Amino acid sequence: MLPKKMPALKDSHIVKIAVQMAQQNAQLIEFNQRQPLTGIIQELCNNWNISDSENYSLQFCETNNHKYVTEKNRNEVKNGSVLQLRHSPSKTANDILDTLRSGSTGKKIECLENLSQLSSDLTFALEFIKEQGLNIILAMIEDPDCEVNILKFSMLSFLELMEHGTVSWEILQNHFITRNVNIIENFGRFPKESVECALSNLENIVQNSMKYTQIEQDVTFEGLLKLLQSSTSSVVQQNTIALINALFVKADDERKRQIAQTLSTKEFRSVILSSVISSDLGTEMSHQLYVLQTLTLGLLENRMRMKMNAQDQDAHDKIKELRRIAFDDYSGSGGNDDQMRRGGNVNFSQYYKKLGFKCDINPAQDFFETPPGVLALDCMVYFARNYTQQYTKVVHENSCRADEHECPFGRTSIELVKLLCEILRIGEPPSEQSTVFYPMFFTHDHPFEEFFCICIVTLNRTWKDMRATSEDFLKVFSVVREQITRTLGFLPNNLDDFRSKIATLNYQAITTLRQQERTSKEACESTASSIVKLKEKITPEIMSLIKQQRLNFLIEGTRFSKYSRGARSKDKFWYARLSPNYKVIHYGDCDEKTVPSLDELSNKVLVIDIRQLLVGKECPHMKEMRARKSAINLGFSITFDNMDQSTLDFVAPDETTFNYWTDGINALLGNPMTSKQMEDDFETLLSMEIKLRLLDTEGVDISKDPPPIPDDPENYDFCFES
Amino acid sequence: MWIPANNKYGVAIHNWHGDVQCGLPLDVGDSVEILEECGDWYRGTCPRRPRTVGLFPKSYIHIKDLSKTDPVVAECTQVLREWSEIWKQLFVKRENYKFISLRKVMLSLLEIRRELLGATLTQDQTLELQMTVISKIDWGNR
Repeated sequence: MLPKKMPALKDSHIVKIAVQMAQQNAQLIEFNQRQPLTGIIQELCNNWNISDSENYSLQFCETNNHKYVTEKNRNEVKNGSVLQLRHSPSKTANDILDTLRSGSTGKKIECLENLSQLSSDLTFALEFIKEQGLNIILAMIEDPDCEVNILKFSMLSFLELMEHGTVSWEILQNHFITRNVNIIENFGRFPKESVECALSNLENIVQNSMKYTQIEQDVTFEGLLKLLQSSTSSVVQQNTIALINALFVKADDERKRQIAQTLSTKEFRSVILSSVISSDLGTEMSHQLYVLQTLTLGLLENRMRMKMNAQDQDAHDKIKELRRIAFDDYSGSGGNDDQMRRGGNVNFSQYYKKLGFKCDINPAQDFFETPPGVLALDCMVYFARNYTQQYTKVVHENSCRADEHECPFGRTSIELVKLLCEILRIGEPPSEQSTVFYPMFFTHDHPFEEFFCICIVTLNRTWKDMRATSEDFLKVFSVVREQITRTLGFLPNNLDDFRSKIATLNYQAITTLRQQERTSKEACESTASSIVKLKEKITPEIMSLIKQQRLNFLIEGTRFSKYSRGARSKDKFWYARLSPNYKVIHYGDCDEKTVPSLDELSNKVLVIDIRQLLVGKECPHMKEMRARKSAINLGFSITFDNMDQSTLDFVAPDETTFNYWTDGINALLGNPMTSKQMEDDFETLLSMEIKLRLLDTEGVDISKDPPPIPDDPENYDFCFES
Repeated sequence: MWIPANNKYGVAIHNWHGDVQCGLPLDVGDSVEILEECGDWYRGTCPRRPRTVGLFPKSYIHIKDLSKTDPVVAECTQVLREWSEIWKQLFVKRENYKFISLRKVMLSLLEIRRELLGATLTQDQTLELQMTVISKIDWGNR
């Protein structure tokens, strides 16, 4: 059979595709990318006997979202694509509009459902909007007597059409807003899709239109709260929080405070916690909660950036209060300020010093730096008022220490608040992507202040654990920062959870973690190609040390017990040792004490005559050793080239001697040493050598791959002689 | 143009084959003293190969500021290197007890040295460790 002729290579601009149409047989055509679409459609229509080809368009199949094929996207048509021939966007849009104007309710619902799907296609959306479709849809949405399904699909279509961003949200009038507010307030009476759309519409208007003020007036947080609480749709909840976030961002300072107050109420928080956070969170929901958290915590920015004003009576009172709470018992009766003033300012500055302020004469100066500004003072007073016992304990413990180890409460608190602001990125706008939010910040009216109270206690503990002095300020803070960020990483459910988790992550635990990280980094580095090569390079040197040691051992020699017929003979010994020039093994009988010299040993074998080393069961003399199994592993023999069958048989007194002798003989024969001892020795010596070779790389990143080698230097005219 | 370098020291972060004109081969971890530099190249010496001067690429070297080195750490480094030779001889001579004890002390010196370099210790802890080092070095020298 002749092989089929290979088809000639087709031009790359022609692809083979199938085109389908309802109630017609599919056509297989060659789709020429250089031929205008109208021409292709014309040909297709001719084949199917359709006369009005101008009313038709091609559409992609499911995998490409039913997009219409346009001159712009036609390069997405590939070999094997299946396209649909359908009415063109403009024809479809007009047909839909005709039905919406005069069709029956049933027809309208059917065609709106179709519209909500078609609207995601840009080509269609543009066509529909051009034909004034939006107005008709808007009229239906705004009609208070609108049938629910018509409402649902018109709203879905409307959002899809707006998604393309070709129409401004500014066009929407007040009654549209009122209608959407009405839908979310009476959410029980509408399908959830309508509620979802209404929320999105309002969020979009808040974000993109001047009309947001009307929404601000019309939407009540109580209504949104009810929605969060009762809705089972996570999309509704997510859109509700997005709307809250949008309103929050747009609000002026005064209104922001109001919103924050509402949000921090127990009622609101518990709804967020129980209805929202407890359910499985999608990425978008996590992001919205993150935004909400960032915005709420962001309210602290004002105080954080506010330098303490010398005329700020409230702040001065707070500083006094700190002193009074701490030193009430010490400085007179019941904290009567006038009484104390008689004691003079000298006394005060002594107390402020004990409180750990940098500037004990005028502690207000400690709050000049921003961040953290007066926010630090707020937190300190909060701690003193709400955790009085812990507060006085911390202050007294440190102010009564005589050594340099006191942890200055004032200074460390201010620095800690600064650190916390940094960790929580207070004052930075929410990022577009982040989904990191901490449920525990939704569990308290004053989450930040509570957070501070836990951390200041932790800080004190760590300070003590580290036996730090004021010079170690930064080091303690680097540990505390790690304690806090690692604990936050566990996403504690509430503040108590945070408190107990950070308590277990004490200084000791941090040190251990750091050590582990260092060790694993080291382990990772030890497999770096450069170190592996270095090891290979050092190996011969280490081997020669081991060989040297084994040969020295052989030169010193060993006293062996004599065996006969598999049993050790009492008090009968022989001695074997290597000559210092490694050429001869001398051996002969000996007593149990003295070490015979080479001359005293009557027998000898030349190393050069040795054929091989046998160990364990291979040895002839071990075959008789049935009784004493343990000795079998200690036996070894050497065989010779010149004497048939005869062997020199040894039974080592212990494993070490066995290892040393067998390694030594192998070394003499030029074989690799094989004992387990050898591996251990090698590892011990090599790992120490590598450690010492790398002493200077501590804290330096060893390059995993060889760095690039530059071009040769321009010349070799050195400044210094070699 | 080769420009003299003033008291510049570094450490090799990779093995350098040195296979270029006037090259000086280096192993990872080798410390180097840089005499002069030109473009992407250094010319200098490596204490492990005394009296040889040669070229190595800048990309293979991490520059170190020796003035910031803690004297106790520097002493540690030097002592460890000296002891390593003695330690290897103890191995060859099979002075097992000394060999094992010296190894233990060397490993603890290595650990302490690393902690000192880690710069996460407080003053107190640093002083304490420095004292330990000194007593261990005293022990070793005896």
